[in-house]
Amino acid sequence: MVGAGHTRFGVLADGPRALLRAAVDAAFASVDRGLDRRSVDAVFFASLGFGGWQIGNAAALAAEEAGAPGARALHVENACASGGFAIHAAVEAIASGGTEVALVVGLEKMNDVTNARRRYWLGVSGDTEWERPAGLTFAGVYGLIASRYLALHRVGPEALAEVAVKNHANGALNPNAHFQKPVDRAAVLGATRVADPLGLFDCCPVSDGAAALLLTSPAAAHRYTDAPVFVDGIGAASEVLAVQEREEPTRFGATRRAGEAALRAARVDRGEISFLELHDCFTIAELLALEDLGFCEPGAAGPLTLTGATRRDGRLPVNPDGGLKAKGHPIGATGVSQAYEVFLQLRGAAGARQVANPTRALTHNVGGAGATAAVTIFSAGGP
Amino acid sequence: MTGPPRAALYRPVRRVDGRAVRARDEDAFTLAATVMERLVRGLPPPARWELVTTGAARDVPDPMYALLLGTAVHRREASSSQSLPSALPTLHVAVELSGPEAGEDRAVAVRGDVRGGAVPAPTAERLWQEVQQLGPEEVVRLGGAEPRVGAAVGPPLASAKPRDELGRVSEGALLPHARYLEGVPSHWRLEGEQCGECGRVGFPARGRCRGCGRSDRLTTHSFPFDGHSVVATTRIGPGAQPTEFDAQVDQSGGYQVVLAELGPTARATLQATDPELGPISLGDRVATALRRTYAMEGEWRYARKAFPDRPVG
Repeated sequence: MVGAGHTRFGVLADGPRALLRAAVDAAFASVDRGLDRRSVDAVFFASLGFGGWQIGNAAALAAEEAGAPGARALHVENACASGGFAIHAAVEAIASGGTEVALVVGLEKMNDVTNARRRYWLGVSGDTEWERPAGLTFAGVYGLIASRYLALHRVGPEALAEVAVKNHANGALNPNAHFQKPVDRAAVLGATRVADPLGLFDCCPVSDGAAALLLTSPAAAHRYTDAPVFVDGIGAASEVLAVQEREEPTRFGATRRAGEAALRAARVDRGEISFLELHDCFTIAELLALEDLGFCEPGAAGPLTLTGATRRDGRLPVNPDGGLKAKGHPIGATGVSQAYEVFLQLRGAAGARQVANPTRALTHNVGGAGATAAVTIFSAGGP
Repeated sequence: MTGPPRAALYRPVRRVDGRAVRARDEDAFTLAATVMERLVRGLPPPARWELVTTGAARDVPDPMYALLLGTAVHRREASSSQSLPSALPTLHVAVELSGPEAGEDRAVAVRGDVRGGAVPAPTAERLWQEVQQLGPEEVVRLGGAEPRVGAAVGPPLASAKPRDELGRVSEGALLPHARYLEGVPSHWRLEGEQCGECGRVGFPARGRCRGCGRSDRLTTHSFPFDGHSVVATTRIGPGAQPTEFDAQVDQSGGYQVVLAELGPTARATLQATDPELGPISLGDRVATALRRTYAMEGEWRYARKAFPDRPVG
């Protein structure tokens, strides 16, 4: 990674083209020694096409707005994991030798449409033949999972609330975050119930936003910067779409397999990883991810979170940018945004939310309720 | 009771001024389905059922009954007193739907082999009376069929606007009519699949074994309608529902959804119904009934819903 850009996340006046331009321009501007747009070989565009905007051939539009028309362009759609999978597609294209410079750009414009249409679209990535007809969108699916998790592991709702409190505290330091206001545990626990046991503060917001990355072959990276961030390993997997058909609803097999594969590819132990960017679309999801990625035993993520270990100054910081919970979750942009945070953190450029001396980071991006997952491990390559 | 019952009676559990009144998700078809399915469950399916419908059960189109029974259906008119005894397996079904002002909603079904294919009863009332004379071991009483003391009074019957809902056009997660029909055996009858290769029993029927991946050795596996343990539950509040359920949430404020364990490797996500029976908690057992879910592409759709599996009253 030699460059990364990010727009504000939130309910924005800007349209999708403007958001794309802003993220891509910021990415090019961040390249220390500059990068000519005409040297981009391939554009990987991550987006769900929320609301129906330009579902077909969207990658050509992204290349056009990136100022790189003519480049090979591919639209990657894996629901909320689109960004993570687009990064993987770029990494593999570069590793194949056929691509030297790749642009990855993720975008979602979710607040263009009416409230009713938005709720249609929030339920398109789960199982539409069984779970949705029973009356579930993702809040409901995660609500089911959370109820079982809390009962199975005898964990109280304060463990979920602590995830929200921590991520809101981090988001308060992130000028791009959708929510930049801390919340306390009582507010989280007392909030309106959305899909019990999940309340309003257990859910990520519906955000607009875009993020972009510039990736090059490792050999070419030092042409553009003295401090590239390297991709050490990638791992991705899928899982049966409907949660009801999985062996255990509180374990995400795709996350487990993707995590194992990424760690194996990067040849690192979990103890060598400085911080995590986890897919916390709902507070329960951050706990599941900590367990499925092997950073603690099943049922132990709640107690671990309550000790403060996952705070920005804790032993294992999780989501220093505020996570999906506070930073926001513009679907296609989310996985790309996680890598953007890694780019800042590993270069010591994260400002007020900087994690102390990070050397390696892991990002974890989930599609829907765990049907797809992409895990990426990065390391600092600076002097 | 060994084998299926010979007759079934059903009264909605909802009470308005002490009268049994159908819930928002009940209609003539679901009332008929509730009594009919109990009579055919476990029987070897005949090539076709002879079906005699009375009252509101007459208004339900043939294909709905055929989908429900999983066989062809031949309709006969109950009003024709000259009907000859039939050699075919026969079901007599009567549904009474009251207006909101008077009377009760109820359904009754009798298997014709009991009545010997005799002249069908001309009215639901007469069929209901006849069933009362059958031995208690021959009759299954469903819903609030047993009179109960101090029955809870439900909220006033909300003014459903089916026309508005039927007019809704789906965007996004459209489940096309053909795919809906494909799911009927699982959604309506809780049919799953057993794999002849690895033995795994899966739900719903998807055409491929989740255990070994084979698709060529699957046979239908029917799960019981009742007695399933709840392993996860959530309550959907306003705003968390898919848009198909907007009208329902407008009227009820939300609904519960449970994950019920059908077997060691089979679970079903089911919406809860009949909130008068109380909330469902983790570990509770649930029974299921066919109910209306939502309207799409101009038709009501149906699926099994869950309610507490405990005696009413």
